Amino acid sequence: MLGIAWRNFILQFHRYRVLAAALVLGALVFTVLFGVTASLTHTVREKAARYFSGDVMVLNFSHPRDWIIDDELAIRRAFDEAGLDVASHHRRSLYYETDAKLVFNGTSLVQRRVIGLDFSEERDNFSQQEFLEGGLPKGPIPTDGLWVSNDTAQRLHVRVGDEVILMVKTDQGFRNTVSLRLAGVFQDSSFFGFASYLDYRTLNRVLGRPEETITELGISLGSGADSDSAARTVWRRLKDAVPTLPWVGTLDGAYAWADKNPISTPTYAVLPLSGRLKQINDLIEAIYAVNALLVLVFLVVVAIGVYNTYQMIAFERTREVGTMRALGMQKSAVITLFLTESLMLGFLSSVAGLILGSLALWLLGQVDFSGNLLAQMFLAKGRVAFAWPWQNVATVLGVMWLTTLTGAVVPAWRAAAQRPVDALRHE
Amino acid sequence: MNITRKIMRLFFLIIGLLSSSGVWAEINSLAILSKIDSQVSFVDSDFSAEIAMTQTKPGEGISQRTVALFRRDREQKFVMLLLKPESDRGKGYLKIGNNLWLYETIPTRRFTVTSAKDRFQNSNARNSDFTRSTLALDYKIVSMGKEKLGPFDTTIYNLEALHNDITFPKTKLWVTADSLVRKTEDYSLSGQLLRTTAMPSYQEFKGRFVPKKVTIIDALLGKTLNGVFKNETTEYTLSKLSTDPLPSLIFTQSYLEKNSQ
Repeated sequence: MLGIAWRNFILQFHRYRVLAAALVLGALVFTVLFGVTASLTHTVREKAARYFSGDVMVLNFSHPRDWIIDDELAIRRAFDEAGLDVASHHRRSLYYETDAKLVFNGTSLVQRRVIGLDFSEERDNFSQQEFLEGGLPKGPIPTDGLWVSNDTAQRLHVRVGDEVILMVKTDQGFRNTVSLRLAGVFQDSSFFGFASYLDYRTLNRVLGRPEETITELGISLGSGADSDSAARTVWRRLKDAVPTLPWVGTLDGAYAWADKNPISTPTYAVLPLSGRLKQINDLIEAIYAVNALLVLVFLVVVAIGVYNTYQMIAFERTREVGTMRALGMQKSAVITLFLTESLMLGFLSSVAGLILGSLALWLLGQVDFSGNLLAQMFLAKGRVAFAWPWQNVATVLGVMWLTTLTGAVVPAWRAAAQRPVDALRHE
Repeated sequence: MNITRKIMRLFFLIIGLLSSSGVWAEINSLAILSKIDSQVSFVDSDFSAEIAMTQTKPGEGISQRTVALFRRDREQKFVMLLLKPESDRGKGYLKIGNNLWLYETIPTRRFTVTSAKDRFQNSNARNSDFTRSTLALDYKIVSMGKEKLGPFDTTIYNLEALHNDITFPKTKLWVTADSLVRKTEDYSLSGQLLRTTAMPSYQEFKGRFVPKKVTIIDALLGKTLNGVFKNETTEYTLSKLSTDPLPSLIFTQSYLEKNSQ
């Protein structure tokens, strides 16, 4: 049967070619669409993880909120015992007030987050920043080093090696300053707000905190890991060890719970990265919704196209069907023959579209979009990172295949339902 | 005789203890700063004046403001109303005790809580520059010295904050023998100079003193023009001084609302 179907498929290909071209184009478009969406999602989440202490983070929500983490050992144990694929640890002290300013040569710029990194833990992760100038030295990290985004550097007209003053308020409420040396400028869209990085001990000193203080502890997970389920696992481990907020899942949820239940002793919240990215999640969900809508519309068009084409093909091949039936072929065999041809059409078109789509994705990855500041958040080194989300692509191709098959069922059944004598009489 | 000696010993012992414990220094510090405060405060009457302010941002030009100032120092109240430019007319500040509100008219008429530490209308002056002088409550003297400042023989006092409700944690004052501050330098906790203020001349008014002209130089903000760094500066003069009683209604939110209409 397969041999006959293949022979028919080749012989009748001139009848399939428009439909085949449409299917190839569809597969190509969906491969690119899902590839780009996956790439943008992955890149933005990776950047967000670097900005927000990883995929799973622990914060102290005691009242009043000093954020200081006192139970580091217990939290680290919870991370270890959760059995997760941990790519890197994040150990930070943060300043997150509205009055943090960098001043250089008479110009000041407010920073949304001043992030003190423990470079002994974060060096590898931080070195993945896209440095445009300077970077991390191979030797010891300078304690007076400062790393800022290209946006900040441009606005302050500051270059690597320049002395910059950081102005903050100490935890005791006094205005304080520290002179820092610009050590690196990294590519960043500042979508999450201007952030600058320095050694956490230096930040703690200027904030009047004990040198080893940390306010955020987190982990980055290996590729493909689900931050939500990982955070839940950590939370289950941690709640048995130290006072912990009930599972809230989002930063807003944690604030709401902590405001309703003010506790003076350290009480920790375990948050997944998604819990801090409401806007990004909304944007990504919107993109996926648009994708799903496009897929749906395309599949409906494919189904109608397949149906019409097969109606025509079945009509044009009536005498052929009559001959096969006269030679003893059963109705079911005729239907199977037509459906097998449609499966071949769907399969070959999908594979061709997939290959062309992958090629298009690779070509897209070669284009430099660095000039577009808005797009920087979604780009890796100014380019669309190559991503091939096989689950999404396979699902769409599978559904497309099924649609092709479904579209061919009625014409195949009608063709097979004709009496051989009528079919042979067909002009 | 023995008793006299014992009393004398006890007296010197107490003096010694006071000196070594720093209590004497604190009492002395309080007295010096209280004297400076009293020279420029109007605790027995209300005080009002008109302030003409000029803000210079190198490379960006000059902006001018006229502000009406009303103070009731004994109750720690003050109101400032912006009179010019026209676009800011109706804006104002109200301070009652430790609460300070900014009344804005654009985009909507509303009060927002602000801080004495904040900049006054994006100038180099802080809101706290216009309130009653409370050095004795806010600072302690940690060291002092003598210095010639232009024509003035001055005593320099290095001050450190007693609490965190002040604008600058460290301040240096140049004070003449008449307890008038001629110059101040404000520092961050780490000792970074943030701004310098000069008040070279005062006008005596109803037994108190009011600076004729105040020049504030921001130590950090400015621009390099033709290879020379020019600091941002704010200058203001006080005129139309008065100690006439002010109606209590002035020191209310409804007055600011009414004034803006």
